[in-house]
Amino acid sequence: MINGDRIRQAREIAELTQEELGEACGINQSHVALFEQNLRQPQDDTLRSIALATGFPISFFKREQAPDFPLGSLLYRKRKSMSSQDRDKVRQTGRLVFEAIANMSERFKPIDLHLPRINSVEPEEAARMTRAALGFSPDTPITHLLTRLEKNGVVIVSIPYDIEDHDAFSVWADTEPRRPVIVMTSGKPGDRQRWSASHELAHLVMHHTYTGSPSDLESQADRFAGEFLFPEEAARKDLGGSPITLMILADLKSRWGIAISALVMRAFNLGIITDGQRRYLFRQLAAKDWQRNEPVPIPDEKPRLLRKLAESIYGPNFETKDVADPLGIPSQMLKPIIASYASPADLQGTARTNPPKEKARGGLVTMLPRRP
Amino acid sequence: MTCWAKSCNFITQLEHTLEPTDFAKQSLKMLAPLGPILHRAMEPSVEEARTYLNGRRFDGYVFADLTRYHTCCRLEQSNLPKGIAFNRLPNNGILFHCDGSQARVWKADEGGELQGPGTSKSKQAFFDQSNLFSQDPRSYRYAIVWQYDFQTGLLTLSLACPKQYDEQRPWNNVECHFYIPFQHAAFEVSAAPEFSSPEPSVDDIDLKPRRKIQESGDDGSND
Repeated sequence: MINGDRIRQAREIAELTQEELGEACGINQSHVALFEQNLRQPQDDTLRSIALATGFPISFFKREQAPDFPLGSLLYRKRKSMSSQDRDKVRQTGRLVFEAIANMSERFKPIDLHLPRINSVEPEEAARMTRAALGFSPDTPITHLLTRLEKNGVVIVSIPYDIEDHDAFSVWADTEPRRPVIVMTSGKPGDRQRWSASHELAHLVMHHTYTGSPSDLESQADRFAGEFLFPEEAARKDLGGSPITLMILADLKSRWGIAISALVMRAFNLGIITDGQRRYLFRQLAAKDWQRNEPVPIPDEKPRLLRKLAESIYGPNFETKDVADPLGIPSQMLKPIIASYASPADLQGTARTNPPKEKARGGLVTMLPRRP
Repeated sequence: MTCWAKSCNFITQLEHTLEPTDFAKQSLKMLAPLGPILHRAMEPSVEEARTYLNGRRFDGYVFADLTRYHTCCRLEQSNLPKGIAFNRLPNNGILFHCDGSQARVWKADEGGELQGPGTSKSKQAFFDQSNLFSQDPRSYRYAIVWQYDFQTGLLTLSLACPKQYDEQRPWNNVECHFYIPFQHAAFEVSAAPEFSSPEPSVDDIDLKPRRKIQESGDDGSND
């Protein structure tokens, strides 16, 4: 029995439309639609063509339904700038990796979930409550954020796609028990990664029922992330007193792991600077092109769980196919996914640093014309 | 190549190339520690001067003097690295001794260039380096030229090596061997080590195998 949902999953991961898959298999788009809705079963030769076109083995299409993986925060984050093809690919790949994690996790006791679900409080208060629930101190920088979240029962799904303007989304996966999942794309600097994870955490904690406009929800999530990563008391202490300058912001980024532009917004949201000062600082960032190329690179983090599960089941020197074969996932597809998770060596502190995309400016000699 | 030929070659290189010369790079490298020191001291000082003049009639001299005043106060309070000394000169002038060399700090003119010495004999003496042919950057005197853009709020610092001033028109800009900008000191700042080093409290995820249902009578869940 072929599972139509798997055909759709493979097609969307392969970034094919129904029409394109039909063309590759010599069938009509309507046939693909019927297969995907389980209203019709493909012939063996058609199935082979589908496998060839999508890069998935035939065994994958015979697998049972994957855990339900709603769109979650994909419904309202950066939708305008993200194509539906990218969105489907990200969601289906996230779903696949989550399935791998869920399958392997069945052999182990569930990790205790400490993430609260909070209603009817201001985002800042929700952030403080979440810090407390996760066992974080109320006023110090949070390092190793992804690992700490995993140890508190949040599943971090890392997918090795660098999609511009899309960093992460989150869902409560429909498993038993339900699990909070944050799906993160790669290739982003550590500070942006930390902000995205905190932003998604806000959706998981506060927005399990979707009420309000997407922009309101996004704004609330940003307020939560600001308080979660840089609590008000510490922010007032560190940003108050002397004038806020680029050097001060660079020092604070180094200590708190938050982008300089986010620090400016935090100062503004807390009323430490006026709107005029906010615009003044953003003009400086724009003039220096720091909005694209900020100084003080923060090392990016890798989650750990997928790799830890594989090591625990198949041994420390497991091979990709050990994980891929039981799930019918192509090994070559899973390899970069596993590589985006931390190995024991990574945990020992060999963290990587994202270099700035462009070399810092400076050093050009200007020879001025002689004066008459 | 003789020493004289080397010197001529060096000067020719300085005068005809637009790329950073070795000499300019060496000079910048030698005085690089001054960049972060000045950025840290001058950025808030500029803001304080700006704030003071906000709502008052703008006076460029007052602005520059206030900036220098606050900068001097900050420099006096800061712990400078070994090998760097700061001297507060009359009228809040700023002089550094760094690695055997001298560097003065001056505000640029509107075109970003070093302003002429006017009738100041000490400035004239400082700027006159037309007869120097040494390739040792420590043999030269330098000017750190600061510029503030009121539109963007940007403070930029450049290292200049004065060559000579115009004796007939001493208010004209000083001719320099080179100008080279300091990279903003924020690029010298690194992430706190806690972000990359392992933390004892964040050890590996602890996975506990489920007990077999037949043996325990439950699924082992600790939920």
